[in-house]
Amino acid sequence: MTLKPHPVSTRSRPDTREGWYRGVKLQAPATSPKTSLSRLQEAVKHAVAKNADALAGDK
Amino acid sequence: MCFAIVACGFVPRCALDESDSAMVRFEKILDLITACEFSVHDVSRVELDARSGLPRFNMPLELGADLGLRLKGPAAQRRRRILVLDAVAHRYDQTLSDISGMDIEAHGNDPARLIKSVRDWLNGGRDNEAPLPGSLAIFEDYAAFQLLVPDIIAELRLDTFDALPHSDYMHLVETALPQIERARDAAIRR
Repeated sequence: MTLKPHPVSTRSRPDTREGWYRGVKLQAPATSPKTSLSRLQEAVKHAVAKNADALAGDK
Repeated sequence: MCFAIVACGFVPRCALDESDSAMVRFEKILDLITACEFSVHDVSRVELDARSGLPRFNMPLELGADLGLRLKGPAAQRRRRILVLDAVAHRYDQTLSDISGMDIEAHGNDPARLIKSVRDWLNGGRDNEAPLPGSLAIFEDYAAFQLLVPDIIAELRLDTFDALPHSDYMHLVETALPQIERARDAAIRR
């Protein structure tokens, strides 16, 4: 496993910018997905919505 | 491991990324190693092949190639940072004794310890930059992601999560992390 670095911002939470996570700018994966990206994004969106209560309680 | 690496803002690269079947697998791995500044090798992945019952030595081979570049390769490669992981502390003394004396982290096959090892190692190499998210926060979000997995599988009409290609997994994690953070923060503010 090898990896490349990326900078981290000092912005305080919550970070609502697209593609940021806990002050870290996430990088797009190096290779294209086999499944369409929009389908993967929809799957995540639906799963997050369906589990919103559980995610809140998990904190 | 890939989850923690993505959460720390890095891009994991591995031979599973490459789809050019004409290229020799080891050559792909060497290309990936030389293109990156950091490497993580988990030697606990030396497991017995289910069919032959023989151990698979790909991981130690890749570690050896990486160490060779780090120690005796071109100048640019000698700045490489390498993290070696194993499940059991000092097991390598028996199985891979030539690397004794190196800094090797044991994770005990525990995702929380693995995330902490990877996050702390990546964070340790940062100069004058804000710290990466804490390992506990990343682990909590990993647990949250696991909660989403059954619904993601159902949505994608897969039988198991293992049927998901590696590149798709990477995109799912990158997509899910900001949404998990927002969902949890929204709950806190309610």
